Amino acid sequence: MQLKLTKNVNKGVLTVQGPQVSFQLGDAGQANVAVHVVAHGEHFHFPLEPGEPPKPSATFAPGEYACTVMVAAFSHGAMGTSYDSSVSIGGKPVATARGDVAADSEEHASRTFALQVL
Amino acid sequence: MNRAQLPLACAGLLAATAAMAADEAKATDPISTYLVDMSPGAVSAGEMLGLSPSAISNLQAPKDFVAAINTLSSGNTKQGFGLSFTPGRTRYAPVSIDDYSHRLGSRIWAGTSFSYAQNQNTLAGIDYKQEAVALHIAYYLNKDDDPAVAGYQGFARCAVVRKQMADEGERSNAMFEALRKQGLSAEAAANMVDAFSEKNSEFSARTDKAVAKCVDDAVAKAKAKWNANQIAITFGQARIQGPAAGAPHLSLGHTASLSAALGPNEWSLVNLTVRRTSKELDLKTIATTPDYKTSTLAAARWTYGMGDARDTYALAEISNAKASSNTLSNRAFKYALGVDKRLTEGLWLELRVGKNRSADGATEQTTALMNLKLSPTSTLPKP
Repeated sequence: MQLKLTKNVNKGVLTVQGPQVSFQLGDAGQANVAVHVVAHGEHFHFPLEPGEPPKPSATFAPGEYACTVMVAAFSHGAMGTSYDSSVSIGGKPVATARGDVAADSEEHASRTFALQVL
Repeated sequence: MNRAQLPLACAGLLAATAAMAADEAKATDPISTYLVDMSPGAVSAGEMLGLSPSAISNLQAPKDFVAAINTLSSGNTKQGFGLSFTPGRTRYAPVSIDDYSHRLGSRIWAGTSFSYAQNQNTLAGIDYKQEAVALHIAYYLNKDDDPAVAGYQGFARCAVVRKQMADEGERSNAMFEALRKQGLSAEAAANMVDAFSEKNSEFSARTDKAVAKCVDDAVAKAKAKWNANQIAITFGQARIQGPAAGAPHLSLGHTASLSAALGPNEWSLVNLTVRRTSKELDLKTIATTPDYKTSTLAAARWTYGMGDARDTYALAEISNAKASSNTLSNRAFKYALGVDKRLTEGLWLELRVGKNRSADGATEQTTALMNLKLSPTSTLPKP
């Protein structure tokens, strides 16, 4: 799996406006896909469990934080094999992953960068 | 090869294809096999032409593609095949599993099928070509009964996946921060962390089996719901044409039907269908001045699911098909018995025997037929 960072991540740094920073995670494919973002102890995950309230944002004081995006796609018991994942932070597209996972298999990838909150 | 041999040749090709798929399927997860193959699938246009002369509209787990071949029939209709295509379940107009699980409109689109069927009908010694198109929309009354939703919800509840991803993310962040404190640039630190994670991730080793168990447990509940409550509507159009060059197409009817599938207990299913057909040719007038009729057909079927493998079903059905009405729709079985049997992954055999009206409308006859249905998980080429 190739997890690509967008040009919004410039030389390993993503700059966003604080203090309230939005996190949007999703997948438009038919495989069972999990997307996870971790930054300064805050965790954002897709998909949500049935009945779990959404967590669209978190508060960050100005500064630099390590941020890791991870995508994992599974074909086991899935409706299909395609994955089309995307992550946006602070309203800016940050990462994408697109492809097909082999039958009865799993693929995953992660990318780390600095989240600079202004 | 003559036209009479074509259905058998197609049946042979289907069987060979299925055998090849079965070899590949040995490495395929049996749960994903189950998710797509617990019923033979429906071809609504074929139902209109009597590929299976039943008045019942099949409501089963939808599939992305179904091909049906009428290989043997003791009735007047023969040499038939049908194709059904569900765009929302293919990569051509796909619905994401997340939308499918949460949005009504997405589930309706993913339950929408387009079908085409054709066969021959022999009337007074003349072979007529019949063809039909249909739009079919099926819907689970409770979305949790849908195996695809059950599997996805099971995956979403997999706490082990979330925890492993969280742990790996925290480790990567800690490594990044340590490298930054040593004076590396953000870009250099990020590259080192990504390279380390790619080589040293334990994610799949820990999560594969755990994910399998989470999904298996959820789908096992849906497995018991082969007879989940569903409703469906179908709209179709059929026509007939004589063998002479330039022969006109005559209407075999414009059809609208409402169907319901209800599971009173874990081992049985009741199907009910009401079908209204207008502008349907009275077949006795096909060679003279065409006369058209309107009729309403109602039918009920009881299906028994045999065993836990969900690969064999026995069924019995009745309808109010009229012996006095010489239309194609009223050639549906008045009553019939049948068996559906999965031969291998994606290949089903349908056997039916029952009483219906003869072609000349004069008598009641016993009709036996055999259909093969192929519905592999992926038959269409990637765009």
